[in-house]
Amino acid sequence: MIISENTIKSLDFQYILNMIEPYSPYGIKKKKKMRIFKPGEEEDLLEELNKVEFFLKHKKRDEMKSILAHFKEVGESIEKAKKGYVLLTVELFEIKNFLIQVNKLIDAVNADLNSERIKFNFGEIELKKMIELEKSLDPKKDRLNTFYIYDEYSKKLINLRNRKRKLKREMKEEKEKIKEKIKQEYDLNLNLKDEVVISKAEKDLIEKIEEGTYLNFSSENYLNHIYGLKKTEKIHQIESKYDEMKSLEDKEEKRIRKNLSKLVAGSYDSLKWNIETVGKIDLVLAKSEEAKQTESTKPLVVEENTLKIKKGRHLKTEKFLKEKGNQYTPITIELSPGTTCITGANMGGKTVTLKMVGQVMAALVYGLYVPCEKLKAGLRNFIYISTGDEQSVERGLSTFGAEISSLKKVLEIKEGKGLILIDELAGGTNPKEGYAITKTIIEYLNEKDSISIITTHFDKAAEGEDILKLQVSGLSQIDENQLKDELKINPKKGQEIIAKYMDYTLKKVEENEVPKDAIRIAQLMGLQEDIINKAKEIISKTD
Amino acid sequence: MRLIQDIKENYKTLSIIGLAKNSGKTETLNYLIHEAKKINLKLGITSTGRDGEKTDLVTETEKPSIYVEEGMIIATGRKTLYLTDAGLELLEDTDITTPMGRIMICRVVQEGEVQIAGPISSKDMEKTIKLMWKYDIDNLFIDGAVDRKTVSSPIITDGCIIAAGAVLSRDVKKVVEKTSHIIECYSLPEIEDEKLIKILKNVDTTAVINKNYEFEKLQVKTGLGNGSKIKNAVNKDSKYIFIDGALTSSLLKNLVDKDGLNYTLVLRDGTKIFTEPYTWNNLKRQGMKIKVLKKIKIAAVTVNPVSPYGYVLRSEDMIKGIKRNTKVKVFDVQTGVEENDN
Repeated sequence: MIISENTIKSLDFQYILNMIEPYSPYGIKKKKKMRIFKPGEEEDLLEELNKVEFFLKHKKRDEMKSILAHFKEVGESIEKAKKGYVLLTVELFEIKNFLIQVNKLIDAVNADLNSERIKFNFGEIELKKMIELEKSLDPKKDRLNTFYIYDEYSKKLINLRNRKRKLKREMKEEKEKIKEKIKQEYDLNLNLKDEVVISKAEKDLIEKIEEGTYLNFSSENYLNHIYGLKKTEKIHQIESKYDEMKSLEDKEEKRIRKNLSKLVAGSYDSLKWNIETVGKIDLVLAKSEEAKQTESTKPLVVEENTLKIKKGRHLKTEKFLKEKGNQYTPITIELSPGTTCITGANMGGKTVTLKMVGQVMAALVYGLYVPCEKLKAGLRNFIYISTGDEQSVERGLSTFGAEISSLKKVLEIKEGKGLILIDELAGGTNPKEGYAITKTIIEYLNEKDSISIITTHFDKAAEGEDILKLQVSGLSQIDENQLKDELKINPKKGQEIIAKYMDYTLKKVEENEVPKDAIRIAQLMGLQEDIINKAKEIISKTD
Repeated sequence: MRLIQDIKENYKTLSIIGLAKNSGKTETLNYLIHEAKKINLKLGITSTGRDGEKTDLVTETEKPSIYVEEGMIIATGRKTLYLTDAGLELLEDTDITTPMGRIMICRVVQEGEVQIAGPISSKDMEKTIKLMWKYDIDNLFIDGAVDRKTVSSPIITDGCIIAAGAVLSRDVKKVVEKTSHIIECYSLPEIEDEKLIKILKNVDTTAVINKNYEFEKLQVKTGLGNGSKIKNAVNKDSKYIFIDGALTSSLLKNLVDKDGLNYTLVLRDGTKIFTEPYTWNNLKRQGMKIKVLKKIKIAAVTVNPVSPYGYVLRSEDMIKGIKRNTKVKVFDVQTGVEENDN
């Protein structure tokens, strides 16, 4: 796998993926199978990015979103029709609505054919009008999205329905006549069920009714007799005629539904194409929406093995800082195959920088715009990050164990251009052996095609002229007195104040010694004075 | 005035609720549809949906088939469309989901029987109602329900009709008592204290409010079974207790059974009361004060004297008994005779 679940988690890349929110069920399905671009697929990636650009610049974006949100799932109905089943009225209604939505989407897309369209194969996302099927689902030609097995489908249907209505009318008339007679004869009104309730006390009336011809005994309880309207021969005739018409109508409706289902089956390929294409458009539109929200830019994809990020941002960290009213410092970094070492102050943002590089590159391989001002990079075969905090309690591995176990897997990948990001390798073990392991791996990775970044606190681990050494600018440039004053006023806000004065940018350095800032930072953070002094004492002795 | 005329003029949206199963709700609805046809009133109809296990329309004892006329607009779950014998033109698919499928808006093009299963939650019901008004209708009926968990329809409509049936008890006095109790609950006086109304606009939990209008929110989501917790928060300065949720007999006993305290219980509306009439009347005599934020208008009470358990009550006794306690129209839809004397 080019990016593992763990890497996605460590990079906070899910944060970006969550911002891609397709509107239709088809787009949601497409998102689940989002393509990852590998080296050699640069042209395809460029096409994808051009599509994103097309929709990003499209004037009808909002209209398209609302059209897409109205799409309903019809995939199942279409499969059913293909297998020869007769579709239900409600399924035909849904297919009709699908076609109407497709038409609306075609109009919206075509309303602004900005020039980006010519930079990719537009045919790949071109929806098909399905005029024949549309016509057959709109027999009234009123272009509404409503549906019924309308009278217009067949003369036979009109005929049957008219006869049904006529019979119903005749039935009502006949019943009214009888009710009128009942009213005259017994002064009784029938209820909606054509029944009348007579108290048992009214013996004379009951006797009269029993002898009469208009009412039938239907049930009794201990208080009442209930009589129902006695059906005359004529009513029986009408009823059976009505039932006959009803069943003929059902048959005719089914015949029509069967024909329509055949037409749906006949359009299977076009419907399938449109379902796929709606999904594609939806996903690309969602990608462009994500690009807009994150102020991402179109990357420059090259075939050469390089990685240059100008002012890259780790989006989740940026959002977190913004919410607290702080600023995120975008980082510029230029990398080439082999190992790059980053050293520098604690709290200097080394880990975030690693994650930022990983996030930008992950966005690239997923065919997204990238969260930086400029990116020029070649595609990677895999992306891997180790942040040293991936304890695996379930597998019973400690930090060190988990770190080594996953590193081993990455080092097994001999070929290909990967991106390997390792934060403080062996930082959790004794410095002597940690140093040895780190130095060896730095040298080992330096011989590979992959681009690797390793952050470390070990002196001389990055020795060697051909290893690129970067250092966090840190607190060195600022007025320490001012910082201390601020800490005095707000002793509990040490972390935030240090963050404010920290220069997170990276500079190229030649020396192999790592800067010694830990005690200073600890002091600024307000660690007990006697401990700080004692630590300084120990340092001066060892020096 | 005939009931349908009153509804036409005063209840744009109306919910019909039954005090129990088989209390004649469907008959009432069918009666109203029949009446509406006579004065050419164009109706929209939906119902409050049934939750999961109750959705088995096939095995349910009560199968509320509603006879719908041409031109009516209905909103119902997709699956019920297979159970209809009326001709329904499909107008609109919605995003409102129910155990019976998405709500579809349909127009009746051939009269016949339908089963209607509408939205479950109040929010979805309000959405559905809004969609239905887009079509050509004069009045909208909800085959409603009062439920502790799902939507209590009378609150979101302009008023309601209560269907009271013999099913409530073999004893006509009990039927009258239970029905009158509900009528009383729905008609409880509304709060007029502007200060309190203002406070309660922002309160969504049970709370105790004192005479200085300071309030203490109580972490009880529903009043159910939390009587002692509420009681402990009450003291001699308490002016109101706002109960956000159901008011049961045990809770009520707990709250009122405290000497020397002089506060008013406040509820959202009368549908939140689930107490026995006996307890209620008893406490009322002891000086219990209850008010609501919203009074529920009752358009009429219908009675169904026939119980599915095989016994029958005297329709006139039910009507007379209920009328003694209310001014609303009370009649038996089975006879179809609406008295015109009030």
